[in-house]
Amino acid sequence: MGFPAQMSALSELEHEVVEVARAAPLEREEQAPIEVLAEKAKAIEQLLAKIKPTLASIFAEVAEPAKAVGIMGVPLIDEVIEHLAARESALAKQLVPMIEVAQTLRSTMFGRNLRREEKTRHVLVLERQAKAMTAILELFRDGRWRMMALRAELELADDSPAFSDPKELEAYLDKL
Amino acid sequence: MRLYRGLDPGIKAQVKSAVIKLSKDPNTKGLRFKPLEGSPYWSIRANDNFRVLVLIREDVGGSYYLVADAGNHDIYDH
Repeated sequence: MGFPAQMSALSELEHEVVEVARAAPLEREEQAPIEVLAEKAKAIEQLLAKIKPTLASIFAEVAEPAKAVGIMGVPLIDEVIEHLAARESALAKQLVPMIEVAQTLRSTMFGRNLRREEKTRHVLVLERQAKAMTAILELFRDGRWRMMALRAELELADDSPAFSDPKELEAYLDKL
Repeated sequence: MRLYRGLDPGIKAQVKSAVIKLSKDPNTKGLRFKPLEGSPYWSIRANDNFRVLVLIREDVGGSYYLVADAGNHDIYDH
């Protein structure tokens, strides 16, 4: 039972996302032709579609052997969760400012000196970009939480303390 | 419990408060008790970016909540 092989594929996809997102800086996109913006949105959406099954493969790679060894599988899951959290955080540092710029540009687009039809197309493409980048971050986050649920499944003990009175629960938590 | 013990004091207090609210009433406003996609678990909100993982279990006495984990759950869609 080792670190999931698919994790390197995920890292490559993550780098591709950043490269594609950086390729046409959003700050200059109000002057960019709509075709360029649409290509970028499409490229990010395609990467989003690849990341989803890659995360599912990573989960399968970890879940099957971990369930087979029970509590002994927890250290590997800890490592994978830590790795996914670091990847999500690094990606968020790159993508969140770009999402914010896309959202700002979208909201100010109707005040610009463009034909109405052009404005509408720009707004739609900027929405697609922001939505795809947001969805990528959410996939990383949800993949990590799915892994946390797996860890919980292996760690849950039948002898966990139980409380029917919230005051007793509070007293117990205060001691921890 | 090892994960709860390791939390920063501020987050720990928010997690404790959320868990106590859950024990009193899962429909408490702001708790956002909802199922976690693709798993049997549910989550509750400790603060804007921190959630608690919960499992609903049944026994002869009825249903009860099992608090399983807690962690960052950043909201990227503003």
